[in-house]
Formats: sequence, C-alpha cells, structure tokens
Amino acid sequence: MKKIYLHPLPIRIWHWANAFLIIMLILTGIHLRVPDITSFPQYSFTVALHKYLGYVLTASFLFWLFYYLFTKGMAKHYILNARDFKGIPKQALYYLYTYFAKGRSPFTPTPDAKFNPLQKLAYSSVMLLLMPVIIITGILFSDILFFFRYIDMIGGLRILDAIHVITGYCFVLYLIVHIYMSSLGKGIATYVKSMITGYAEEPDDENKP
Amino acid sequence: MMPKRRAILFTKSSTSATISIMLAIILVLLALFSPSLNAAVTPDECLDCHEAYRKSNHGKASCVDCHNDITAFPHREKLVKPLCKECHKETSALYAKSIHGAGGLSCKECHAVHFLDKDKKDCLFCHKKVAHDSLPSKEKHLESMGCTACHGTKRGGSAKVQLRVHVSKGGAIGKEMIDPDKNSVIDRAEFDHLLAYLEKNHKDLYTMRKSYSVPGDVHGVAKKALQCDECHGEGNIFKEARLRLSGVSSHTFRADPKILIPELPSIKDYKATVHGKKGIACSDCHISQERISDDTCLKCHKEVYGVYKNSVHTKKGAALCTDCHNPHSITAYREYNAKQRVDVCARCHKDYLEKHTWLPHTRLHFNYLECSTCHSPESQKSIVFYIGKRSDGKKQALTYRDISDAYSSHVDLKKIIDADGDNLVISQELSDFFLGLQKKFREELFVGGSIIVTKVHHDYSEKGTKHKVCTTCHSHNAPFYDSMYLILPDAEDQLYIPVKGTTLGAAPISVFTDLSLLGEERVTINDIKMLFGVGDKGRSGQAPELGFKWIDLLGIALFAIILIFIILHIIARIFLKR
Repeated sequence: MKKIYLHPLPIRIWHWANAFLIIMLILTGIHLRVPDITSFPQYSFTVALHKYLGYVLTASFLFWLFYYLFTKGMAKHYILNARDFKGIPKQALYYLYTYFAKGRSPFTPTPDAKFNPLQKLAYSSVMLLLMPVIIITGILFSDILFFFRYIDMIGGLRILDAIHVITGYCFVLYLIVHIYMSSLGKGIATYVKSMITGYAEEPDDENKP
Repeated sequence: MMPKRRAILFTKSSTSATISIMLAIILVLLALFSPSLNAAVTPDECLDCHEAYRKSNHGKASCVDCHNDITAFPHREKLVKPLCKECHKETSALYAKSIHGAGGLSCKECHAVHFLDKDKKDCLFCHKKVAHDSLPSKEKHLESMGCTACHGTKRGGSAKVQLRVHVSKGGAIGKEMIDPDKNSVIDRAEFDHLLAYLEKNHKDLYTMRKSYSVPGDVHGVAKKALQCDECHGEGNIFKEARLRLSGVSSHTFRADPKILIPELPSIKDYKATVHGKKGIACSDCHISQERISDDTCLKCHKEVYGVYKNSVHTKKGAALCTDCHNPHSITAYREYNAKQRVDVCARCHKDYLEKHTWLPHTRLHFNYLECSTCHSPESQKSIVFYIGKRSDGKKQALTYRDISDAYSSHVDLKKIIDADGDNLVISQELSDFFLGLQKKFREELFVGGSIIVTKVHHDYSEKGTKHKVCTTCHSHNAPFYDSMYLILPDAEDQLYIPVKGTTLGAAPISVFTDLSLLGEERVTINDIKMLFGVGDKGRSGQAPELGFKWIDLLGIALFAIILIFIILHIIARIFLKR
C-alpha cells in the first residue's frame, strides 16, 4: 500500500478552519433565524459573532480561491470537464450500489486530480456558487443602511434574507452529506485522517475509495 | 350767448357797458376768492363779540376760514356748520370709513376745534377700561406702542424696530466682530453670536432696549385690530430694523427684523393643527409672553399628565410638555413615523446612537422603531403598515390624493379593504387590496412598515439592561404581532385599520418584501398539516399563505429526506458489513 501526498498543508489548515467557521455560522445562523430558541448566548452576541465569523469566512474563502488560482489547481480539481459529466452517473452508482457490492471506486485520486466527478460537482457548487452568494448577501446584511440601494435592487430586505437563508440551508444539507461521506473510506476515519496528515492511501489492486 | 350779449352792451351805451364789465369781474372774483373776500372780516372784529375765543388756536386758520359764510357784520344768526373735510380732505375721507366715523361720531367728539392744544382727548378718554386680556405680553405691547399701532390705519412708511445695546464697561467691540460678513446687515447668526459674546465678555455690563415705531393713523381705526401674525408672522410689517450699539463702542447696523420681532407659528397653518381644528385660540394657551407651562397643557390633558408627572422627565425637571410636543405642528404625533418620533427624543438625547452601540444595526433599528418602544414598557406597541410607491428610485407613502386619483372619485377605502365589513382586515383582504391597488398604479407599490407606539404611556423611566433582550421583539410572540394596523391616508385624517390573521412571514410574498424582522416567523405543526390539507384554516376560512415560511419548510423537509437516506445507507452498511 502506497501513500500519496494529496492535501498540502495550507489546504488542510484551510479545510479545518473552514469547517469550524461553517459549523459555527450554521449554529449562530439557526439562533438568528429562531431567536427565542435559546437565551444563551445573548442574541446580540450571536448577531455580532455571526457577522465577524462571516468576515473570517470571507477571508478564508479568498485564501482558498487565490491558493487554487495561483497553484493552478482550480481547473484540475474543481472545474468539471466533459469526461467528468459522463463519470457522474457511474460515481453515483458506486455510492448507491457498487460500494456495497465491494466493488472498486471508478475513480482513483492523484495529486493532479484529487476529486471524483461527484465530488467536483459538489465542491465546485459549494465553493464557486453557494459560497460567493452567501458571502455577498452576508456582506449586504452587515450594513443594511449603507447597502440599501443594492438591497433594494435585489428586491428588498426580505428577498435578501430569503437568498441568504436558502443558501444557508444548502450548506447545512451539504454539510451532513459531506460528513457522512467522509466515513466511506477504507475505515470510517480514513478520509478524515488523510485530511489531517495530507496522505491518502493509494488503493491496492482490488481496493476501493 | 355771451359774445352776443356783450355785443348788445357795447352797442347800447359805452358807460353802462363799462359798469357791467366791472360788475362781472367783481362777481367772478367774488366767486373765486370768497374767503379772501371775507378776509376783510378780521378775527379781532369777531372777538369783539366772541371774547371767549380769544385764545382759540387752529393752526393759522382765522375765524372766517371755517365760518366762511360770514362776509359782513352783523352776520346771520344761524351760521352754516363748518365742514372739516374742506381742509382735511384725506383725513376726513379716512375717518368716514373708520369705525368711529361710520358710527356717526363727529370730529368734535375728540377734537376741541377752537382749542386744539387744550382739552385733548385721547383713546383712553372713551376707552377707559380696555382689558386687552387676550393680548399676550399685554404690558409690553401696550407700553411700547400706542393704540394706533394695532388699531390705526397704516400710513406713512413701514414699521421700524430698533434695539439699543448699551455696553457700559469692558473692551471695545469692533464693527467686524458684530458683522463679520461686512454686509452691514445683522442676521440671526450674527445676532446670536453677539449675544453670546456679550454674555461672555460683558456679563451684567450691558442693557438692551427695544423701541418700536409703528405708523398708524388714529383717524382710521378699523373694526379689526392687527392680528398677531401681521407682526409676528410671514408678512411682518416691520420692514426696517436697526441695531445700535452704544457705550464702549458705537455702531449702527441694519438688522433682519425677524431677529427683533419674534416670529410666531403661522396662524393660517395653526388652523390645520389638531389644536387649531378643535377651535383652540392662541390666547387660550398664551396668557403671557412667558413660555407656556405644563399647567396650560394640564387644563385639557390631565390624564396623560398624571402618568408623566411621576416619570423621570418631570422629577428631574428635564422636560416640559412642549419640549417634546409642538402644539403648533400641523402633523399630529400619531402621524409621525418612527424616524420623526426618534428625532423628538434626540433633540435632548443627542447621544442616543452612542448609548445604543450594544444594539446591532443601531441606526437601522432607529429607522424602524421609536424610543418608547423599549423605554415605555407599558405602552401599546404596534406594527403599522403603509402603502408606498417607488418613483425615480424614491420611496414615498401614498397620499390621499394618490389613492383618490387612482379610484377617480371619493372612495371609502375602509369599505374597499374590509370587504366583509367586520372591521378587521385579514391577510387575504390586505393582499387583495394591495394587488388591486397595484393595477391602478404605473409605479411599483410596496408595503412598508415600522414599529411604533400607538397608545402611549407617558412614563419613560425605563432604562438600563432590562430591555436589552432582543427576543422581546425578535420573536413570533412579540407583542406587536397582536396589534397591527394598516395606515391609509384619508381626506382629513389617517385611517388605522386593524390587521389580523397574519404575521409578516406568512403574508403573501409579493406584499411584504420591504420589512423583515428576524424571528417573526416560525414553522408550526399547523403549517405542515396545511400542506397536507388537514390543518386549521383559521377564522379567514382560507388557507393562510405560507409566504416566506416555505423556505424553512422546504429546508426542514430536505434535511429530513437526506437524513433518512443516510440512515438507510448506514443500515445497508451494517447489514452488508461495509
């Protein structure tokens, strides 16, 4: 069994920071949405926390964006090509059936192509679509009066809120799927370990993920 | 005719002709210069008999100037009554129209015509006890100005006012200090600056005295006196004002009359105010020049004051009723929007933003709610909605004009909105009205709203951390959801129409896009039941629209589906030992 270095240190740090931020933002976001769900922490504290965590998330997103743009990883790892689209059904079938049939994953990660087509689809949707939307709407929320002209263009505070919340729900849904699927490695914690060490186990001949 | 006659005279006899011509000339002269003719009658001749009039004086007029039917002595016993208007034409004409003249009083009632310097009768001679009770600052007005200032006819130039500032000690005051813009006219800012300067540098060493000159003709006393606003309003009759500095320095400046004649709220506008409409006159409140005290307000607003007098404001002597309420304002307090209400408090509490930094989106909050929402816990808080239009990127509340134009006649809006006439507007009725109204407008309409106090409790003592709890408002249980009104402009007033059966989140999406409160909506079991058609339809008998709640419903549903899927996947893994 060979180990390949898949996740460079900056990306591992980013991943876990991002994970922390998103979980915190979801939790504070739920409190914001349902204010009387708890009286601790103080609602105004939650408002501030959500806002500043949002700023940190923005910084973290920009780091991720520029890292992949500079290392030219964006096209390799995130942008779906024609072959990827063809590979999506096969990959989906793997998780739904082949996996249980102890079959091999149709995809083997390499440093040049870390993610399978389904991963690519999910990650690029999250990072290149959901993330910018939630960041931009979040920034508009940070100073409603200052950005009122733009909020008005979108259709009002309520529409802005709807967009932000819908995107937020998408993050929640993505997160639970992401966490669950991280357990689909050789062992339950295999993928989590690789996200910590950076090394992924290259599957042996008959082996999977 | 004449030439013919003359011709005859000339032909008949030259002597008789000469006599005739002379007689004619004399007659003509007689007719033309009759007074000078009887000027031959000297005053001394008159005084021979009328000894009592020896000291008579009427300017340079002699007896026969007025008694002009005396041409020789002895004169007729019954003389023609002299007519003043023959000399005093203008004055007589003015007097004839005046309340005195029209009332039949002759000149002699006031003027002792033979002895003008004696026996002078002024206004007080007849009008001994004029109370002038309704005149604010009675003493000041009566002492500084004569009766004719207000009661006489304005003649001979504009009214003038002068302020004499005498500074007895201290350093000289330069011209440029008083008039920095060097336009020789003192405006309000310059005047305020001067007063502040004197207070600081010449405290107790200066005196100020105002003097007024109002030309008014006593012969033209009109039925109606000058109204307050003719001096203290827009059309101030004081067109000239002067500021004279004496003492340590002497300068004279022209000044803006408005700084010396205090301006009162427009009387015309006052009639449109709540007080004005109820027929309360200026003098009902203004009994002196002193600022009206709370006692004045108390005469009518006893109940409110009962609460207020025990609050911090009164206890600390911080605020009179009129510090917050402008009795001359055309807009009633209830017509103020949240921002305008905040502005009232902010006149004293200027640091209100700094004091509320704990409140996220401080400025935004103050755009949508007023101070008493939190600081008067016992007051009734309501959400009020208004319908506005967007034109040229600006948002404006619809006026009565807009709505009546849209319906092209007088409309009873209440009947249109509250179709079933139960005096309660439900979500469905509101959205129907809104959508119906939108069709009549080219501009895009919107529903705006704010949280204001609709029944005020005048105790603002509440402060501190107690009400820093966001969830008092950001909760689906917030008190104002039970008290919602749609405010619509009516011809006279505003209509407050109660709105029930909806929270904002459940309102039709198209209606409330402009107002959003965190925590206002919460998906209920009933909402989920509604989706399956088994929920309670509520009093409206119609399914309440989900509005923006569908976001949460969909989100929760997807969450559940994915969770079930994952659980199934896990079960499969366990059974298949993967």
